[in-house]
Amino acid sequence: MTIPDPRDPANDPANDSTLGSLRTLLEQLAPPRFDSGFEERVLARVTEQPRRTLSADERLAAVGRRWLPWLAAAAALLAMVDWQASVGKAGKPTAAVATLSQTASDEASETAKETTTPDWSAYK
Amino acid sequence: MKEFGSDEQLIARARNGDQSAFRQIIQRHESLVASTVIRLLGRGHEADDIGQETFVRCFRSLQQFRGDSELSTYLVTIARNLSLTALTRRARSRSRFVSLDDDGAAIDDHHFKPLDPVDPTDASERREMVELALSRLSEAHRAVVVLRLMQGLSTREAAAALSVPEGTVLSRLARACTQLKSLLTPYLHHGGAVEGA
Repeated sequence: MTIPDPRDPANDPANDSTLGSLRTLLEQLAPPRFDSGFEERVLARVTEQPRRTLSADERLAAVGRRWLPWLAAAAALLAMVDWQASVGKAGKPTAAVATLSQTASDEASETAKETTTPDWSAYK
Repeated sequence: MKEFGSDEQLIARARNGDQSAFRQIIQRHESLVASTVIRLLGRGHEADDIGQETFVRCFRSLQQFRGDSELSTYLVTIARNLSLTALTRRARSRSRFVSLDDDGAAIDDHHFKPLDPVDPTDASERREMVELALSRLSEAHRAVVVLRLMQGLSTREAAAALSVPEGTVLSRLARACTQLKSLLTPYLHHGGAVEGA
């Protein structure tokens, strides 16, 4: 089914002159009414939920209720990022640890030299 | 019914907590809201509830109402938006069970056989038959007829209100008019409504 071009007034069925009679029939319709007691039902709803201004404490509590989950989520996220960073650093030695390990390694190699190449001159 | 003055005066008094002024606003505009809501949704609890909600929202926004538009326009806009939302909700819940095409063509053709008139010249019978014919249209088609032919919205405005392309409004309107004409054939020749006028 081809969609008519809405920009062309000739395609607008509302401009179809044969619809004049249909439009006239529709205009003759009496406006419908809601069931009796409509005003009372509206007024009852209006008065049962009166508009009330929040006090400062209530406003603060409302803001807290609104933002607390987000704050909690943000805090949890930050804590997780911090923990991830600390876990990442554990794999790499810090400067102090690197110095210590270098010293230990030097000592070990000296000890190894001593053990592997003993000085036999005293026995000669 | 006692008249209290213009809409502006009534709004000013209602803002100051005068309930009788708001009652006057309801009485004055009820039929306007009803003709929007009931024509779009049909009679029933839902229509009544949306009519009430229209006035409740109006009441709650009285302090912000600056009078840039007429109160009647404001109320009709609220009523129309709420009704169209209700129609969308209905269509969604129906589509879970039944698959209908976009134009709602699933209604049988026998639905649109001309109505049998007793006395086509009788105005009250004619009105009744037009109501009946409108009620036989699908909701999508009826919405277009109400917005475009009865409320005088342009094709673009109707398309925006219904969230459909303008071409869809035109095709729905064309189909709805064909269906209405086939139902109301006997009445189109009587009672001052002359075909081709």
